[in-house]
Amino acid sequence: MKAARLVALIIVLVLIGAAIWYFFFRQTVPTTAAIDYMKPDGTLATWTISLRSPQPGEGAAASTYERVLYTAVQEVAGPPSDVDAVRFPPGTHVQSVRVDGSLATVDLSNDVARQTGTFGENGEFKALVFTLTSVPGINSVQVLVGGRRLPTLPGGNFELDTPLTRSDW
Amino acid sequence: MSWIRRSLAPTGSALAVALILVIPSVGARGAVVAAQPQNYSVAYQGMTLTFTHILWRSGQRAIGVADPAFAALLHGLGANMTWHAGERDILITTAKPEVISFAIGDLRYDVGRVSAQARIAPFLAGREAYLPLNELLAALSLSPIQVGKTRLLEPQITSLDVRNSGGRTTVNAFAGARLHPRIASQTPARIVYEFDGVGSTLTGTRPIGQGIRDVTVRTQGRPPALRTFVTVDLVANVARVTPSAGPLPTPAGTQVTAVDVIANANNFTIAVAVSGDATYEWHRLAAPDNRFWIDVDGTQLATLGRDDRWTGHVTAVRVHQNAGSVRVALSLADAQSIDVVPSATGVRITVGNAIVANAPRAGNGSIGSDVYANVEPVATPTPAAVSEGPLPASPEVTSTTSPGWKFGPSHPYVPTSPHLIVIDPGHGGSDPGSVRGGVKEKTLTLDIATRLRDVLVSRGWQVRMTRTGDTDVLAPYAEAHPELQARVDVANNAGARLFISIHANIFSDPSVSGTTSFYSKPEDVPLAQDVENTIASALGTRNDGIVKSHLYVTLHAYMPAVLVETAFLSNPGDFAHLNSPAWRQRLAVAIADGIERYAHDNPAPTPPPNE
Repeated sequence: MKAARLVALIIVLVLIGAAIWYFFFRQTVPTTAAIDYMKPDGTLATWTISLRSPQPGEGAAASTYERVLYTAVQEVAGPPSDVDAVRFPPGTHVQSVRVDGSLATVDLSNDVARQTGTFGENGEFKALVFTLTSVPGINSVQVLVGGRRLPTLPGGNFELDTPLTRSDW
Repeated sequence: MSWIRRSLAPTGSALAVALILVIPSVGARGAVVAAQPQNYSVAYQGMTLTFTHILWRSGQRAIGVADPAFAALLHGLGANMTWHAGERDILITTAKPEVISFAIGDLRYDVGRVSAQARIAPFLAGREAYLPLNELLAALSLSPIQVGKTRLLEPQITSLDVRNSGGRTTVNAFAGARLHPRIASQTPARIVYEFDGVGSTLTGTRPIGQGIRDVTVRTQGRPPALRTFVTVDLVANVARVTPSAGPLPTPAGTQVTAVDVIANANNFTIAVAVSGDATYEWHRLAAPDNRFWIDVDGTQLATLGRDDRWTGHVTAVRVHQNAGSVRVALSLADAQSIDVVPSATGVRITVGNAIVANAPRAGNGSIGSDVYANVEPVATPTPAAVSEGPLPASPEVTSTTSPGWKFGPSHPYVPTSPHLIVIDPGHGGSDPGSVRGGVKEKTLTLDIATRLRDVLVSRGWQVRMTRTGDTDVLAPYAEAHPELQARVDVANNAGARLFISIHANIFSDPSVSGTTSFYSKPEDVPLAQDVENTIASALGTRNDGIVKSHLYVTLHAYMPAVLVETAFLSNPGDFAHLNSPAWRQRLAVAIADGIERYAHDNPAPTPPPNE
């Protein structure tokens, strides 16, 4: 009888512990991410994407990398086509990303160099930087074009050769 | 195998850990052993694609992402894949654009915002990721169809975006191919598009609104001769705007580009800006008539004429075009003193408070070609000289690594030429900037900048342009960085007080319009604000406000700087404005007003006493 009570008590404690663990696990792993985009009126808006659960045992660095990659690709693709938004030039896509500490480096395809005007340039890069710096641990974003660091886009005005932060806007 | 890991890992038991270690390795080996490489050929858009990286798993085909035919298919679709060995996510950005995402070991895949379950999860074989083929093709809006002995990948229209904005109807269709629609029929109330060789997952009629009654999608025929028709029925009497794209009028000869009146308690000044060399002749009548006029010979009036009534010593100002000259006439209340002072770009007429007896009745003079005629000359190196060697070191310049201010002065900027304003007409020479309907941004910016120069000079400012013709500032086809640096060097090396860069905007959405003043540094803010406000109030165009941004020229100009995106070439209304010389003149005057308002409220800083 005493042993049965002990077993029951252990089961109850295990269940409570599992519930607490599950609660905190759910709290710390986001299931969605906000992707910023600039509206034609110049204001920022967001749309939401659902994230995959991290793989068990996945380290923080790997998790940050996966999230930077995923959100960067989504950001460059832009919101659904029925949403009015400032968009990267057609064909622009993320070739690769790299995370070094709090710096995310995003390598965009050369398509980004197709001229879109200052309004477009400003909106595109502002949205990209705001989206990626919303990833926990990321504070700045270095943009590469076709694998190279460019001072500006050809024919453009926006400076790209230094990491961008939110304070640049 | 990750779904197994996820279901077991929370138990935290030793047994689960053991399973995690064992099962993936068994599974991975099983996949390789079970896999039977097999080619898979399909006809797509007139070519045969043979996929060679095909593996079978659980009775389903999986395709390797390194398959050359798969790469060709993506290329044909205008899609791009982002994946590197070791990464979990395989991300494909379609031409729509939309992101298709698969993850190794995860049955869930996403197409845009829609999640679905695949019959097999993506997996690794060696260092190559394999994706479930059927789900992948469906996500790419492709449908495999057997036609006789041929396996056909038929593009499907899976998304249709129809909208009406500003009298313009836009239809965007998305399918698993580059679409080449043709207009099958067209009436004022209906337009029918035909897509040959394309099916559709959309059928039926859908009401739209906003000038479009409804859109109908129907398919006809059988593969491979399948056709899809998209019929757009318009509401009657929908206004259609067809913007004209006429060339920018070319100035003919010397012009009077601005006549500004500056009135204050002590005197009344009329500043006449002239675009080139000219002679003038003035006359005044004796009391009690007290009229004064000046004729600028051989010029055309490029701005609107005026007939303004005033109170005080000057009761009227009239400006009009005469045969072969532009006349500016004043009506005076009494025999006030009048000073006529020519400059390089115009002539100033100042009416003082003093009453003058026996004042001269006539005079003449010439307006010269030296921009700095009525001001102190400014020694600034030419852009070409700047480009030939390293810049001389400036005691005010330091190099820091702080973001966005790499080359800035180490203490608050003190202009060595406090009356000098550098105007930068955006683009030029080999760089046309934005182009619409044959109208080039570089032409517009030069015209506006030249008018601005004339107005500022007529008001007593020194002005230097980074370019005065259709030329590059540094060299033809130079990279953007040195070209932009050459422009700010003109201002930085001259110790100018302000840097004003003139541009015209463009955007894919023609409804976007207005004027925006971009800035980068805190000290730019009041200048940008004043310029933006005066433009908005003077021109009545949409005020898009001032916007902080990471723009090269505003970042690297030591002095307060602003980049004015005057209007949108892509907007029909703005485009008409930009093509109007009168509007450009009003714009130039408004920018000058903003500059003067800024200068009035923000006196030029002076060097500290110990320097």
